Amino acid sequence: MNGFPLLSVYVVDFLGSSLMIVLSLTAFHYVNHLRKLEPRNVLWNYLFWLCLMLVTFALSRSLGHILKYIFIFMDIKHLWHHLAPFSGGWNTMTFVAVSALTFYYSNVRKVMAQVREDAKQIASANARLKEAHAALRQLNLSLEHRVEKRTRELKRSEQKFRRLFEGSKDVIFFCNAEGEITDINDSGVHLLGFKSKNEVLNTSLKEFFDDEEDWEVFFRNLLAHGDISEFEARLRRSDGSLLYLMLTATALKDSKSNMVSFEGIAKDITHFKEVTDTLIRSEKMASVGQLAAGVAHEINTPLGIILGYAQLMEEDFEDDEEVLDTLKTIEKQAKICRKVVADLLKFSRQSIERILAPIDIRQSIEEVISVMDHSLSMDQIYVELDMAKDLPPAFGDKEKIRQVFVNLINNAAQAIGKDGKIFIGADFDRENDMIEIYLGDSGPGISQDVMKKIFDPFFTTKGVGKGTGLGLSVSFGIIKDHGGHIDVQSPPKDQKLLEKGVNTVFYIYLPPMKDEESGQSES
Amino acid sequence: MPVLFVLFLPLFFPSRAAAVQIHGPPEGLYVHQMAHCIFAAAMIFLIYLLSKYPPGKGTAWKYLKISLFFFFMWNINALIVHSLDVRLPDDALFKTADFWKNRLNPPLTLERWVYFVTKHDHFWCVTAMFFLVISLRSLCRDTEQKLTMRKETGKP
Ligand SMILES: Nc1ncnc2c1ncn2[C@@H]1O[C@H](COP(=O)(O)OP(=O)(O)O)[C@@H](O)[C@H]1O
Repeated sequence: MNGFPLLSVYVVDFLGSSLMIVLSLTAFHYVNHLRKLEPRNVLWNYLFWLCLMLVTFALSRSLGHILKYIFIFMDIKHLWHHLAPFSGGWNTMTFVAVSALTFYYSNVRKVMAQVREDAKQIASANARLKEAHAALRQLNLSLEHRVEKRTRELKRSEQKFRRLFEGSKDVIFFCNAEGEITDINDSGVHLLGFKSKNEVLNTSLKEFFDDEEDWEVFFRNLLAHGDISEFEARLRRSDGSLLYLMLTATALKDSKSNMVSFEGIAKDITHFKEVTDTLIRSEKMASVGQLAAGVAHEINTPLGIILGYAQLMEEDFEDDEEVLDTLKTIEKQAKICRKVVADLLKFSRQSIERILAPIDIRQSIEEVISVMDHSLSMDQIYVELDMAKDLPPAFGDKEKIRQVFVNLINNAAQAIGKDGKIFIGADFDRENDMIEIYLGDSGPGISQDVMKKIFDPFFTTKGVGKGTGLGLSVSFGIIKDHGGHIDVQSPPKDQKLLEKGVNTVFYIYLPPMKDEESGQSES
Repeated sequence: MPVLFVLFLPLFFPSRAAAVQIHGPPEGLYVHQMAHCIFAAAMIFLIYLLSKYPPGKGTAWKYLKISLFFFFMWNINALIVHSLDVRLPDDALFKTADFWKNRLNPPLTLERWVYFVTKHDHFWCVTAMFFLVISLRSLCRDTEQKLTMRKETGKP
C-alpha cells in the first residue's frame, strides 16, 4: 500500500467534533447564565445570540460529522450521501447567520455607545440636579435660620422700643399727615386726662391745643422744616385744666417730600412752668420792692411837707372859697400820693415795723367785713361767710393779713360793681397742715390773658386813680412772708362755688402757728 | 473581505464541476465558500471593533478576541481545504472499501501536504470554542462579582 494514511484526519475529526459539542454546550450554559444575571444588558443579549449561532453551527457541523462516521461505521454510507447536502447547507446558513450577527455588532455598539452617552448625560444632569437640589435645600435651611434669627432680633428690638414707648414718663405720639393721633403711649393718654388709648386715637392733636395759634405755628414749622424742637405749647386736658408741654417732633416725608406723618415726644412742663412763673414773679417783686422803697422814702418827706403846708394854708384862706378849693385839691391829691407811697412801702416790706403775734383768722375777717360792710351794702353786695369754728391760729403780722383781706374784698367788690355776692370761707386742711381761706365773687371772672399778669406789680385793668396794680402783688408778698401762698381760679374748680354763681375765687393758704412760735412775740 | 473572496475564486473556477463530491452541485460549494469568506471577514471585523471600542476591561475580552481569531483561522483553513478538495485529482486519494484505510496517494506534492495538514481543521475550531468558553466563564464571574458588590454597597 502506497500513500499516506488519512486515519489521523478522521480521528481528529471525530474527537474534535465531540469536543466541539461539549464545549459549545458549556459556552451556551455560560452565555445563558450571563444573560440571566443581567437580562437587560444589551451586550450580553448580543453575545447570547452570537454564541447561540456559533453553538448551533458547531452542533450541526459536529453532529453531522459524527453521524457520518456512525453511518460509515454501520456501513450505510449511501445514507450519508443523502444527508450530506442538508448538513452542508445548514452549516452554510449558520455561517451566514454568525456573520450577519457579527456585522450587526457595529450597530449594537453604536446604540450602546449612544445609550451610554445618554446615560452619562442623564447621570450628569442628575448629579447637577442633585447638587442644585442640595444647594437649594441648604439655601432654604439657611434662609429659614436667617429668617428666624432676624425675627428674633426684630422682636428683641421691637420689645426694646416698645418698653421705651410704654415706659416713658414723657409723652410719645405718632400722628398722620392730618395731625390725627395714630398711636400714643400711656403717659400721653393719662396726661391728656383719658383712661384708655382708644379715647385718644384718631383725635386731632390740634384739638388739645388751647391756643389755635400755637397749633398753627407748630404745624407750619413742622411742614416747612421737617422738625421742630422744644416748642412750648399750652394744651387742655379732657377735664378742661391746662397743661404745658414742650414738644419735639419730626416729620416723615415721602419721595416728593410731602409729609406723610409725624412723631414726637412731649414733656410735661406744667409744674416747671408754675415754679418758674412764681420765681419770676417774686424776683420781679423783689426788685420792684427795692426800687419802690427807695423812691417812697425820698418822696415821703417832701410829700409830708406839701401836705403840711397845704393844710396850714387852708387855715389861712378859710374865707377865700376859690383858694380853699384849690388847696383842698392839693391836699386830696397829696393824700392819694401818700397812699401810693404807703402802698409802695408796704410792698417793699421794710417800711413798717413788724408786730408778730398769733392771728385769729376768723376774727380778722369778721373785723374787716364789719368795717367794709357799709360801703358794700351800698352797692348791694352781700357777703356770705362759711368759716370753721375750730380754726387754729396763724402766726404773724395781724395788720398785714388784714390788709390782704381788704385788698381781696376790694377787688371783688370792684369786679362786681353793683349787685352781687362775695363768699368767704375758711377751713383747716389737716392733711396739708394749712389754713385754707377762700374768697369768691360773682363778678365777671378773669380772662386767661389777664390771669397771667394779675400778680405783677403795677398791673391793673382799672382806670387811672382807681387802681394802682399793687393790691395783689402786695398781698402775694405778705402771704409769702407768712410762709403761705395765694392761688386764683377763674372759673373755680369747686363745683359748689360754681353753683353759687362764683366766677373768680382766690385761695389763701397760711400755715398754722407752731408750738415754738407761741412763746415769742416780737416787735 | 471581497478581496479575500476574489483571491480564492480562481482556486475553484478551473475545477471540474462533475468531480465535486462533498457538496454536490457547484452552487452549493460556492455558497459555502462565500459563507466562509463572510464568516472570516466578520471575525476580523469584530476583532477590529472590539479593539477599537473595547466594551470592557479584563482577560475575558482578550480571550474572546483570541477565540475570534481562531474562528477566523478556522475559516481560512476551511476555505483552503474545500478548494483543495476540488483541485486535487480524483486519484490523489486512494479510496478503499474500508473507509478507515483511505490514503493520500503519491506523489506527495506541497498541495497534497497542505491538504493533509489543513484537513485537521479541528485544531482551530476547538481552540476557538475553548477560548470562547473561558471568555464567557470569566465574563460570568466578573458580572457576578459586580452584582454582589452592588448589592453590598447598595448602589443602584
Ligand atoms: N375778683 C376779681 N375779679 C376780676 N378781676 C380781678 C379780681 N381781682 C383782681 N382782678 C384783676 O387783677 C388786677 C390787679 O389787681 P390788683 O393787683 O389788686 O390791682 P388794682 O386792684 O389796683 O387794679 C385788677 O386790675 C383786675 O383786673
